[in-house]
Amino acid sequence: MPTSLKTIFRLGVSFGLLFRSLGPLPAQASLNISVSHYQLPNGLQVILSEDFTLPLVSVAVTYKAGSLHDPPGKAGLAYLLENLMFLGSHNVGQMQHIGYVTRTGGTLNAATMQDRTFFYQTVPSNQLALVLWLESDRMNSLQITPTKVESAKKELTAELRRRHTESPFLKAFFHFDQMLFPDEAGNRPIIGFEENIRAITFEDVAAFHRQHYGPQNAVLSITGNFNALYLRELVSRYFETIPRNGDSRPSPVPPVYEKSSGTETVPAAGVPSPAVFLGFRFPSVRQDDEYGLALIDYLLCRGNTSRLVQKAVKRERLANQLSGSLEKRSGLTAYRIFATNNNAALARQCADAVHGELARLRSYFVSEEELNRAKNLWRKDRLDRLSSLAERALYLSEQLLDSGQPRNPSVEMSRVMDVTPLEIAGLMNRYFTRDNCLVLYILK
Amino acid sequence: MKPVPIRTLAAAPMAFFLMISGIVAQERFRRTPPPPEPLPSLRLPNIEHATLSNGLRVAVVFREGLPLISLQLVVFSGENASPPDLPGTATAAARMFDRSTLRRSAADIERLIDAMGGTLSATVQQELTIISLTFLEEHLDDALLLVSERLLQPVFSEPDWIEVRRDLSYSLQRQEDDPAYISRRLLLQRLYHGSSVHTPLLGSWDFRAVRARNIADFADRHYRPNNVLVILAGNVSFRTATRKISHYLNTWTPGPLPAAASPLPEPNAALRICFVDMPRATEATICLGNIIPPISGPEYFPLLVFNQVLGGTPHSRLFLNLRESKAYAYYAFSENMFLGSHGVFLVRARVKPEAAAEAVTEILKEIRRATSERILPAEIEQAKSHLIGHFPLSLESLEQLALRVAAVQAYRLGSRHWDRYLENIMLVSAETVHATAKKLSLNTPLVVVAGDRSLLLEHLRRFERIEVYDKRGELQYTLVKEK
Repeated sequence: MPTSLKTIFRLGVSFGLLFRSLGPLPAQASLNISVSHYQLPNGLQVILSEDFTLPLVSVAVTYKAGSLHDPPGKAGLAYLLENLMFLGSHNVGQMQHIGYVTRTGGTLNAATMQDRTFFYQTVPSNQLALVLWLESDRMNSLQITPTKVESAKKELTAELRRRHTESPFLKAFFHFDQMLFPDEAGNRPIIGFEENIRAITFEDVAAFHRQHYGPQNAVLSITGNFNALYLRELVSRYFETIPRNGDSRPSPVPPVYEKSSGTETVPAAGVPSPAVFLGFRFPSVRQDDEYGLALIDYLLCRGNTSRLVQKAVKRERLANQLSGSLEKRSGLTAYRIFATNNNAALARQCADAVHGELARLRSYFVSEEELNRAKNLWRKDRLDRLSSLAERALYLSEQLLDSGQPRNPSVEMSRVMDVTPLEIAGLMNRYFTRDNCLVLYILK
Repeated sequence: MKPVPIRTLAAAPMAFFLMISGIVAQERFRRTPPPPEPLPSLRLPNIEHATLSNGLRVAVVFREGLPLISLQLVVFSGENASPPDLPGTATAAARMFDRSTLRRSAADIERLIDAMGGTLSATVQQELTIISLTFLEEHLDDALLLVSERLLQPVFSEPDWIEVRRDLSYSLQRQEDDPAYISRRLLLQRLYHGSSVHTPLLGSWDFRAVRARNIADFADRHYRPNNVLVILAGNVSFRTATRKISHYLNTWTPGPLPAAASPLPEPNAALRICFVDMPRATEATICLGNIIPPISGPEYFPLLVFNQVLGGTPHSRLFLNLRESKAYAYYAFSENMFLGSHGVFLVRARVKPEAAAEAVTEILKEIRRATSERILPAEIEQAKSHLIGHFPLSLESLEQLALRVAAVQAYRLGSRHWDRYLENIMLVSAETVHATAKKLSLNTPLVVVAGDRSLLLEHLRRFERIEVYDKRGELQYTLVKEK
């Protein structure tokens, strides 16, 4: 029989220990993943994680520079620089970076996020020195010219238009970003706006590069099949003499956020169906809360048996698709739910159904069985991610940037496995309430 | 002459500074790429296999590491086995795999899969169906119990099917807005026309005539142990795996083996241009190709290398020509789709509408060049180096490993495609690539262009004859150039 929570919260009694003893936890969370970390004199942080399963290595370089660092009116600058990183450095010609990696049979990619930009490649382990040479060359001597900047701007504008065509809800996503993340730095699109991209100058790019793309602002993460001693020699050879960039600036200080509620409706041409967004802000969330929030994401929207998928998609057929995502931008963590519906009435009913399900999770403890299901799905997804060397390298960089130290994935895993129904109920009652819910209807 | 903007002039010294900063501090080792170390040895896990008394083939690949197991259930029947008047029946049967059994409701099965941390997916090709289930290793028994219940005690109820069909139709409707999906589907439809091979790329309308009883009949006929292969990859020994699989599946009864599809598709003999109208598409999507020999043929390895040279990567000829040199394309790649009875060689590109005709011409020119002129040994070696280096990457995740093993086992390819795979690539020479490419019909492909007719048809007028199709693949009319 579900227990009503309201009384317990009013009494302020903690039942954490009680719930820790209920039912068996999923199997042991420890993983056989080694992680070591050191820093070069120029400030470059280096993470190493050996894995001898296959003769492969992944090298990821993450710069602490993302769209948050775009100057006002220049949204898209960080992303533009990501593209310029492939257009040549002193010893590597335009697009040659891709050519070198491709010829080894390796794969590579890059991405710009709100607070970071990363570049990664996975190659046969005998090509490790090549990749370190390539990454160090563009860290040391990226060649930016006005012609390249103009060409990259043109490409970026074309990509922006293409994305709008391919993702009809993109404009609506940007609109909801502005509702959910009130700080302009947090809600600007990573790819930028066309008028902002046009306004970017060569000087802007050069200044951004100088401020953010030095070794003191970067993390080098290497995973896979290598000899650690030899690797340290290589890292030292290629990266130690890269000078610090003089004027690194700290990340902008995020504003203090508050909970907020409100509903907006926008008509949208060109979308395939009506849709609804619901968002919840988590101001001043603690690190430990993030483990519980990760599980709430699974309880609500991940897997076939998650609450909102069951209710809105499977049982009541109010939505064709429903997804959720936990995001952190400019110091604010938030949760976004997105559903597509057949008509406007169903979009509104869908939002009501979401609120109804959230109310149930606020009022009644989630069962151990349901929570363990969410934990197992989360664990499987995390293991899937860690089974890719490139993803593992990026994961370790993220941990370092988020918490200041590279943490073994086992640590996060055991924290998540320890989350109790009481913690879930506490987070639900603290954050998933109507007075902290922003809603956007997209109607055709 | 165009005046140089003042801002650019002001920027020039800084650009020079940025370029020169590296030169000043240039160390000798930075000037040239370091040579590779010796090629690392790749120790492939053994594929251990057994056949149960009911004819079920089992293959196990042991890999230590993360606590996950990947199970692949390969049924040797795909869309080719769907009744001609009921296309999509094979896909429907695969998509019903997480529905009810005599012991559990569909909701119970979904709960069981989520509780295992499981991900279930179904892929239906022309000749095979692959049900893939990856889960946390401590749930091996749960996974096998689920598979056994679904295979031995399935229920194909109309309400379950209606729910599955709704999801399928919704996702297919979304895909039908994608010119890449539509152009690829039309290409396969046209190449397979007149043969017994069916495209697995279905339309949202394809399932309308399919009923739950048709799916039950299909499953009863094709989901039989002597028509199935089970693969387990992960931290599980051969002994444990076979004992458990035998425990859960030994009472599954065999049935008569379905006949292989015939006749097989013939290569397209003359260049054909087809067009599909996709209103509001801002670019032109090109998909062209032709029938090639099957995976087990001697052409397999030379064709891998040929494809690599022509369009396998952003550093191959098509991408460098169409995107980097001519700036026609957003992307341009080629690929081989190898199956047991035949293969399809494909080129796909997304290009500017005004450059659609030039892009098709350039692609045909590149194919002609690669087939008629001998490719330089250096280019061949580069392509081989890519394929050799990429092989371990294609085994990185458990599911990738299991799927590779599935192909080796399903098509009975043996060690030629497993522990002697790299050796076989190394043996490919410029001569074998040339001889192979020359004898195939790569120069007479069927070309499909998908895009908005108001933007595109004008630009395609240079072609003598254009067949215009709707999104379902029905011929609407043919445009013929006036003499």
